[in-house]
Amino acid sequence: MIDQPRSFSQRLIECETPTPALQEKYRKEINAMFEKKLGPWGRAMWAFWTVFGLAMGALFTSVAVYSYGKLPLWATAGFGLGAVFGLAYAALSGWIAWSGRLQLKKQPPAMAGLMWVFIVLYVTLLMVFVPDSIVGLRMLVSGLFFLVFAAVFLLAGRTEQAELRTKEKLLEIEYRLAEVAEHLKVRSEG
Amino acid sequence: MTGDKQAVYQQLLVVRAQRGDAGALEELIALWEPRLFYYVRRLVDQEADAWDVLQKTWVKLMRRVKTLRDPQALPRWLYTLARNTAIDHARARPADHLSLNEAEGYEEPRSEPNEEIGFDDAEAVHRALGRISAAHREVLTLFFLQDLSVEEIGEVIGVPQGTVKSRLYYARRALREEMEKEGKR
Repeated sequence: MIDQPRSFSQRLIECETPTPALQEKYRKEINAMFEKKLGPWGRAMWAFWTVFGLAMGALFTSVAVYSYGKLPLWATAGFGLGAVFGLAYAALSGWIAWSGRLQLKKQPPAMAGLMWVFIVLYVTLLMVFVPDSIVGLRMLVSGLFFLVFAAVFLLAGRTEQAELRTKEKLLEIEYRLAEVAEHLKVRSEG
Repeated sequence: MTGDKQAVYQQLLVVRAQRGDAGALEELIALWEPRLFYYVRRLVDQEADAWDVLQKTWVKLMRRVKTLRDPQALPRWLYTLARNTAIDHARARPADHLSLNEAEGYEEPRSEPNEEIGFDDAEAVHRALGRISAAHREVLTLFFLQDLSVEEIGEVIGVPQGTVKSRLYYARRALREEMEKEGKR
């Protein structure tokens, strides 16, 4: 284990003196690793997603306005939420297209989350407006299948997060205990 | 920070990184960079290659951190990741040759590997490490870095515990010989 300060391992590591120029190049590459620079095609793709998000936002807004008073309030609220997500997706992808940089640590998970909500809302919208026929029934069944799959995906993700959160809390407690033990040791030695 | 506290803190960083905390991932990289660089530098001939290997190791860490089920296994996992990356890097360049498991046949060691190290002069050890065989250098580097048990060293380099012990025995002997030669000069 990594122990006391200035252990043999630390003194050994300090003997290695990296070349500043190579280290600097590495640092730049590490920073670049967390941030992908987009080429013209990459930017165009994100611009396309911006337009897509805006279109979806506009579609959901118009449906929310149209459905107000005609459909139950929860349906209108759902469409309103769809509009918000569409616009948020457009804002995020628009910012990526404009800056030409993709923050690999933060943006892809955010985009995936937004896309998930977006697709679920979109399928729900289709299910609300399916025609009253056998074709409509087929669409409803396929939509339900998709929604069940999305729910399972969401549940699996939430369960994993909850497990990790519990692990994190336990480790935080363990860390505090290690801190207390360290303080007590210092006090008893002092 | 004491060993226990540091180990728990690193596990905490792993779990936070698995939860998507980018700051935790960066901190983990910063914490492990000097140790892994030292190890990788002992595996490859050129410093530029060592930095390349290290960078590729972090890319793998970023992609695979969620697959690390037991955060306690982080040191072993990271060293294995770095070692495999160094091997892949060498394979991609046929001119480079990484002879990590080409140590000669071993007899049973006459002493335990965790006996008194007897190497206090870090600078002399550092210099002598560069003059022994790659397989000896690797096993000794992992041993001196003090992050892994003998069993874990075996898991990293893919040999049984007994082989690690005998390799450590002969590696220490080779290192001592090199240090003595240097002392006589």
